[in-house]
Amino acid sequence: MYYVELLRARRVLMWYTIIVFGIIAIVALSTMGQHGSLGAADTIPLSDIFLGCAFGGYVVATIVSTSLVSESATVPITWTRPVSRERIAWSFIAVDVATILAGYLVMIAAVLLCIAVIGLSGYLRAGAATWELLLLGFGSAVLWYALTLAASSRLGGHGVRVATLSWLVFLVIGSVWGAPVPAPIHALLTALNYLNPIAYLGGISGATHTHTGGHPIVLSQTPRTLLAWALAAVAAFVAVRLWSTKEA
Amino acid sequence: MIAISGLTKRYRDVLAVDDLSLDVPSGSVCGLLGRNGAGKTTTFKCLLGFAQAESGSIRFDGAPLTPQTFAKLGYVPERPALYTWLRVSDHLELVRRTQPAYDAAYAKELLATFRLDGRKKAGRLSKGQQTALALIVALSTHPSILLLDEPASGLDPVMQRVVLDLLIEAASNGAAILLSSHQIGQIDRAADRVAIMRDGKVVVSGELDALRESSRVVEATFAGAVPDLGEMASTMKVEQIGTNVRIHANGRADSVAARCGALGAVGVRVLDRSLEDIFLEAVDDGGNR
Repeated sequence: MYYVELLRARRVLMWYTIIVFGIIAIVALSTMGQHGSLGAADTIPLSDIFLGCAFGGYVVATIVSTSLVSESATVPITWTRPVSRERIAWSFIAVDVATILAGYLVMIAAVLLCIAVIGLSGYLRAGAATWELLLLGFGSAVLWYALTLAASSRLGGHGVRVATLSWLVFLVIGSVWGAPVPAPIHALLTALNYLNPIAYLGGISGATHTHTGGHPIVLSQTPRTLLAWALAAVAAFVAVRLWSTKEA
Repeated sequence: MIAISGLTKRYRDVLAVDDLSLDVPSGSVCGLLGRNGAGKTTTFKCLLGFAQAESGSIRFDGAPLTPQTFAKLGYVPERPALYTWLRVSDHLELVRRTQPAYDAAYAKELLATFRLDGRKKAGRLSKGQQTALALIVALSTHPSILLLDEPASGLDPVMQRVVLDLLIEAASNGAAILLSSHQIGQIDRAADRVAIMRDGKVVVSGELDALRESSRVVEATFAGAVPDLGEMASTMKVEQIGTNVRIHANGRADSVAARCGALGAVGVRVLDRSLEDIFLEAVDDGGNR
């Protein structure tokens, strides 16, 4: 059954890559002839690029998170294969996670290419734990995907609405956390931010990769990476369970 | 063989299927008839596991439904459910990858029969062509169990005939086929047994020939007043218009005709009834709808 999802993922990635590199081409063209420079002591931390490029993962995650709910329209085909529904769902999830990774890496490649075109490659610097941030950025995108998948898996349609709404919810939860609100509401917002993929990328020092304070998720890099992946796994299990036991 | 026993499905306070029992032996086409909302599609959903039955049992070749059942089961839904963004050939590739019994040569033959272009996207097909593709997806594995919910809807009369011929051929090769249709002529042509549903219940079922035999009507004309019909009036449905009577003979047409003759009828005719007559009588609810 993963064949359908492979075709869907291929289509998503094709358009995504065209758009991302199209934007990069525009940026490159607009800066042509200018040679960029930073101050002598300044660098471009690769860690910031890895965290920022999670945005690309979020975009792809949002699109592919409608995969299971999209199958509601084709249940007479999807659910009449000699394969258990759980296995069908997991095969979809495997393809989707690989697609998110590809989307994330395409975004990183596009940004690095842009930096190279501008002539700032020499300023790129990687710290000791920089590469681990790839796992965090990727994990937060997969968490976004899994939460949206779980929220929409029981529905008979409207997956796109849920996916679109996820942006609003995550952005609002993240942005109102710092607002002056009563303590119980602040505690609630803090708890909700543990389910907010965007929150996992904030409050980390690019140099030390430790929690910098003033942020809802009070965990350093490794525990928060593990937590993001663990929550994503739980949400994926919930999504598979809900989808495979629903009535069509 | 499809064996359904005591199937009951309720949606909140609506009893969609009520204690339905039905057997479809191998090599048989069973026509499932009923008005809209009679419970036909819900029955299909329960058979396929799309909906959870409240009670009852469903067995295919003696075993309950499992994912492996779908290796030998073909299904065509009421409305073609296709990936509109995929080409016809992609649908067949999906079947090839997921069904061990997929017969590529037969699928190609069916594509030619229905004049479908493999390169076309499903969303760009007409309704009839989409139905044809759904049929090809279902038939290309030579399933021994076929569940077809209005399989010929949207097809032109020529293609409808082709579909019915394909079903008859599949049944002659041993398939058990449950076929729902509002077009009674299709059922009449393809099915050897029928089940008629009303309000979630099967109200009439059996072999078509036996049903026809049992539903023959005797029409008798008397010269004067209609005499006392004796036990016929109490055990059979009798309609009287003037000096004419129509007696629904419940399988005893010949003896009823002879009795009418003995009572002095000046004219006696035994009328065969069509499946449509049988259906209309079965679903007649006295004009309550």
